[in-house]
Amino acid sequence: MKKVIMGNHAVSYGVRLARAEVIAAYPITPQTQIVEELSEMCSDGRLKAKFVKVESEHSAMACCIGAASAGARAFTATSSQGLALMHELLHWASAARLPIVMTNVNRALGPGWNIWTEQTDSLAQRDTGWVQLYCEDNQEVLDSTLMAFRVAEAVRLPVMIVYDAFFLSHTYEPVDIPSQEDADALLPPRKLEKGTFMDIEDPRTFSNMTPPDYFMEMRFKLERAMRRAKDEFGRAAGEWKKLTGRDYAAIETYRCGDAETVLVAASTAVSTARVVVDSLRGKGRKVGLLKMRMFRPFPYREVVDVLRRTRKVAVLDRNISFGSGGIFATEIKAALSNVPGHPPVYGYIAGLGGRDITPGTIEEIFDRTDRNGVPDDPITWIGLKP
Amino acid sequence: MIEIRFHGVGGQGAVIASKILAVAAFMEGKYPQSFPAFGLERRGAPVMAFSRIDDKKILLRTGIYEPDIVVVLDPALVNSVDVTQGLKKDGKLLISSPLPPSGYARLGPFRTATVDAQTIAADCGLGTSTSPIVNTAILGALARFAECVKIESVIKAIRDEVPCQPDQNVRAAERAYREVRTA
Amino acid sequence: MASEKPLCLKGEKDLPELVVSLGSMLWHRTGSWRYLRPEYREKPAPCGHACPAGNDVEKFLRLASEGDFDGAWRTILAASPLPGVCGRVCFHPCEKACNRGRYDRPMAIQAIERFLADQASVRGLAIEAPPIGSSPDRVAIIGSGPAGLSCAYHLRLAGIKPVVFEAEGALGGVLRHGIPAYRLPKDVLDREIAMLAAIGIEFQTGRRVGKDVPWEAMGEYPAVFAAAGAHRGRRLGIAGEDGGGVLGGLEFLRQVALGLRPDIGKRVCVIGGGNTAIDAARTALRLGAQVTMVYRRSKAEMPAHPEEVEEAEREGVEIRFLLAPAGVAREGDGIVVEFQRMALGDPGADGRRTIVPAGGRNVFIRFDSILVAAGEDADFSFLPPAVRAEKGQVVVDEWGRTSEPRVFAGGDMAMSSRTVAHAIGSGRRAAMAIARALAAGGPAEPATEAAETAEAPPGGVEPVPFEAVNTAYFEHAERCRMPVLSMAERLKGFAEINLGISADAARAELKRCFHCGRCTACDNCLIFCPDMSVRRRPDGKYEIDYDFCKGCGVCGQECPRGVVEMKLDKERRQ
Repeated sequence: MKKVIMGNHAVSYGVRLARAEVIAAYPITPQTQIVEELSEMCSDGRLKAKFVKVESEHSAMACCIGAASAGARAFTATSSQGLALMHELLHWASAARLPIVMTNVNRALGPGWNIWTEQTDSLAQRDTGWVQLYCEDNQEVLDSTLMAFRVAEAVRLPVMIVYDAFFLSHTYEPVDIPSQEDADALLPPRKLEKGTFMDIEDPRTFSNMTPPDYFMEMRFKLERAMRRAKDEFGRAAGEWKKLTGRDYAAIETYRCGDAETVLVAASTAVSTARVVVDSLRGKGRKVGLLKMRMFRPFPYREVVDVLRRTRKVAVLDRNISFGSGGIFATEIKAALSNVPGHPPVYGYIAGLGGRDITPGTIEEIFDRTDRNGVPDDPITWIGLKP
Repeated sequence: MIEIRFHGVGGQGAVIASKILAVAAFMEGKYPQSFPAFGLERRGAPVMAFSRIDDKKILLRTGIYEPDIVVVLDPALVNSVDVTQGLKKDGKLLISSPLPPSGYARLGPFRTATVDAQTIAADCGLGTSTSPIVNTAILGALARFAECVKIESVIKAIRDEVPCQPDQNVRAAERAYREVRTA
Repeated sequence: MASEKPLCLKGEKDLPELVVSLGSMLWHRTGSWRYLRPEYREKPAPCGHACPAGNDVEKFLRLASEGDFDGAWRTILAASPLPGVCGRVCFHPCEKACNRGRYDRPMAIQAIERFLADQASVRGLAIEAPPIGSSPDRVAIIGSGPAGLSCAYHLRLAGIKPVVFEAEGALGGVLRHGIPAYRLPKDVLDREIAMLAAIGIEFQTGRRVGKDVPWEAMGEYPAVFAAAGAHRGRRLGIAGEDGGGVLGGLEFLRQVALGLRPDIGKRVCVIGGGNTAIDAARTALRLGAQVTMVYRRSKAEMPAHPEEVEEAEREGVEIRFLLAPAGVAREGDGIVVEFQRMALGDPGADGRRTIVPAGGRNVFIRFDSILVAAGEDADFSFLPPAVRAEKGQVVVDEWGRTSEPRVFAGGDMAMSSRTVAHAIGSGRRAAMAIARALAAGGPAEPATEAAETAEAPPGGVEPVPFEAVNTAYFEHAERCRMPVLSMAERLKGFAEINLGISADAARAELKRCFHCGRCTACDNCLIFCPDMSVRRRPDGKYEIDYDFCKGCGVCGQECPRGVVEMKLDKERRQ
């Protein structure tokens, strides 16, 4: 059934269809309508879940860790400073191998106080062992929420769904709400294997002291699970396509076949870039687009396969790692570095703190990439007021 | 694709107007996209909301800078906000005002219409007499003036999306549809 | 038990996927670490512990707080047949004992008891009593005051047929003839006595044992409970006491209760500092008199309930202290009373300060009449000499047994604590002892064994102290206020002063109860136990798994109401 809904409510619908059992959230800024709608669903019985109102985002994650440890399907949502506050527990959730799903609405970290979109908050958590999926439209937000639970539970790792504040979070557009049958087919109840969750009948010690003799092996297992997450996402997406016709993959290419310049982007900038690519193609320019849906695990093979064939790579980063550069650009460079004769990578930073990324912004990136030689500086600022 | 910008005062329902418009357009098989001016919302302060309507999926995810239609929910805004900023030369301007369209000729050579949505909303018991909620009335006028959606769709969308006083809201939309004045 | 062979994890493949022990940890009995032991045990709340009538106060408050007003009323009925009476006239020792009193203010228990009784009456609820047993045994009860009514009621609940002999023309004893109607309206008393008549208690009024009925007639009953009260006013022992214009306080109250209007004139002196004195003073006030109370000692020594003293003063009773009556003289229409000035001396045996003459000139005050309320004595001349009495009281044990096998006694004639609640309790305990004795067969023998096996009287287990309550779980909340009649309305007659609280007020008040010592299944111990050693029992309450409890004490700390208590673990320290 199609409905005109905002991105935040697309998450709420997804969580409801996923039959989440525990939702923990801190309800104050930078929280969004995601949990507001979920609390209503819990109170009016549309969702049979325990809604726990906690006193901070740190507590929200702690609550999800507890719930997931006990075998429940747990969810929370946050943004910017709230995500930063969770940092310590994000490591815990992944190393304890808990299939928690969280939505992070990308918002800039203050100060200056800013509630608009920027990816630095989620990308700053890239090393915490969470799967990260970036969304382009409200449909993808909803579908990704369901697939996130599936992937999380299959590989026992937490998954973060990420999308832009306002450009999706508060934007109304038609979304196909899947049927409960389809949702259940993709996502059966969480399987609880003996010795993997806290069971009063089979008490075990969890998160034990792990000495140097064994610690590396545990980390190896976590990394292996992270790699499996990509395959599991592929399987989930394949089943979802059969059920709904909608196709998702770790990365997506748009008109890259003979492209000489490929723009790499994530989130809503991808959507606008599709319009620009069409427009430039209409003018005979050989441009293409690579959408990064999955950032962790980083889809090295897929990215390299696409980019090694092109002449120039432009990366649009709505984020910054100070003293280094755009985080997507850095990772793309790393992915290509061992490919003989790989194309140069142009790093562009635009749209920080919610500044609009317009078709003009993207056109400028293509123009500069086509026109200029390999830049000395890893950062080229777009739209910076002189 | 049609791009519409709503100007209102916090509390008049500009954001909800853009949402109802999206639902109405969707009912006609079109692809809508509506969003508020991103940022902080405050009651009583000038606010904006935006809508795009197209026949195919809308990929643009940026602000609207050169709208085809501007809708002003409060006549006082004309004096404090540049409501016609970026409005296309042949763009349409709908203002809630007791004045005839000729009263706004100074704003530019736009196709202008007016409707006294404040009075209509107050008569229908929407909001209070000092701060009536005019969003449903203005949508009725917009349906007639801009022809971007049908009045039937607006009415159905109001019934679907407005939980309180649906009959009064529908009456306001219908009356504004009849009373809108064009130049 | 732990694995026999040492763990040998060679590599990644031997390790579990997540950081978790390879097997169940049930072998690891952490209970062996314990030296403090949590004990999960419900204990008496101080309110019920303090109730002389034996009410399970916490239970009726709990049922009422759950909205079960009928169940709450029936809980009171398990101990006392007179909740409407006690809800008005009891001096509520429960509230003095209430732990909440050390947090903000005590629970308004009496107001709630009254509310429950009144709402039960409005809803027409009736006492449920079992059928009377086949035994032809009947028990005689002398006196229909609170002790007699309570004993009759509890015997009746035990299936025994009681016969109550009342000397006066109407039932109720001190409740009818001693307590003024502004404190206890007669219809409330009538209503509760009617409930007792309805379950088959036989009442014979106008039958004074020893006069209308000879004591010998009691011989046909296997047991007799004597509760004739204490009605004989003490004399002052001063010159002129026996002339006109001097009336006993209790006699005055009796006459007013019977509808008479004794001529006391305008200026009335009430001598005494007890509750009868206060009742007499406030009653005289309502007959239009200007009342002066005179008490030998100071306010602190007054035996009357402080709330009653305060009300009397608010209504306009003047109280003069440290004046002892020394003589009464008649002058024309009036009376002149001579008082000796007194001063406080050292504390006496009862802890109250004694008085000594202060010297100085005596005081002479003119009145129209004097009401003497210097205490009352029991009249047990109707009892055979074999029933031993000492210091003006029939000697009884805690079960009301006298020195005479068949004869039990209770109420004011057998107790030093002369309150309605004590009387109700004495009647109840005597009924238990009588029922036991009758069940044992034959005439009631001294039932020592029976007494030991009968339901223990209050006082067995120490109640929960305030320190055991975790007040962090309770918010401060205002105690409900009893709506009262305006001062102007009060003095017009004998209308009841306290108007009773509303259902909403009762509900709000009920939320304040700590439920000391009573497990409310709040789950705190279950939730806070870091070792999951607290388990839920099938009845919804808890048990502690001592195999694993290592005695950290968190459950005891987090129990809001003192049910879980930490004790030294003797088992583990041997």
